[in-house]
Amino acid sequence: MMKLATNILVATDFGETAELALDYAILLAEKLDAKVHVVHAVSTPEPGVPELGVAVVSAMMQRLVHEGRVSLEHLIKRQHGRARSGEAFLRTGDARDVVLQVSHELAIDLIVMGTHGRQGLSRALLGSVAETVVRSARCPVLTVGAKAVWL
Amino acid sequence: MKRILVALDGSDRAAQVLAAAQRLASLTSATLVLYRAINIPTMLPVDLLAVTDRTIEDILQSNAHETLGRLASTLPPGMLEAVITDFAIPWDGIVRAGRTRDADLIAIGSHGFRGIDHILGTTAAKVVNHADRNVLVVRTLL
Repeated sequence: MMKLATNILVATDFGETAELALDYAILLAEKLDAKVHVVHAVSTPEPGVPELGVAVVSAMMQRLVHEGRVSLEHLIKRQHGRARSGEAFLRTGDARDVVLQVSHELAIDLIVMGTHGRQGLSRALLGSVAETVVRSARCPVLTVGAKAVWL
Repeated sequence: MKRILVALDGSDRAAQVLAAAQRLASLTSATLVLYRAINIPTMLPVDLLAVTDRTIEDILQSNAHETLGRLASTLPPGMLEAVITDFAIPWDGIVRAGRTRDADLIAIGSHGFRGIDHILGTTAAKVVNHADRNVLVVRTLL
């Protein structure tokens, strides 16, 4: 029978659906004896006021990267003792690019992610990060909605 | 997980999607509902309709059932719950079937359903955006 996945990548924005996605991935990984890796993208905020310039942006980025690291460490601790945990990645850049990039680098064979993020924008209207990943990823993608369904 | 809705088109890639769903179902003791949306081809010549007493819907539906039946026959006993076909736009039909059959997960291929999929947006991407279920998009080779 075909192998479903040995390396699972969970994309997280630390939102509620991302939490569901991680839990789902862990349950799945336990059944598949797969490893769970986690990635978080810190994207450059657009201040909208060009005069504020680079200083504000880089200070903000530093804070976001720091917060991201703390949250990732927290996630890894939570996962501990359940599925085999892999690596945690924090990268700066557009979430779509970061997820695809890391999935290529690690030869990921399943991406698990929530269908909508923390921003709360209408996913049907704007298209979600998940949608772009589904279109461009080279491996299977499992999207998890707001409703939790357990394995 | 209780039930996986497997969205299949008429292509050779359908078997790849079914294989992934079958693997997941065997790991989680889920049953499978095989689903196929049927489109009425708009380019169909009217002359064709005159050569048979059967309605075009009948012919398309029995063909679709036959294809799904062939795929279903490869499944281990007890795993198949139902085979359903429906006249619908694929993404919409799949999303609705997921809801009415109360599937826990929709499994779908990344390519297929229409040749122009990659330009207009894949059926899979639309299902991901509109379904209120979890969706497994299986990477199928063209």
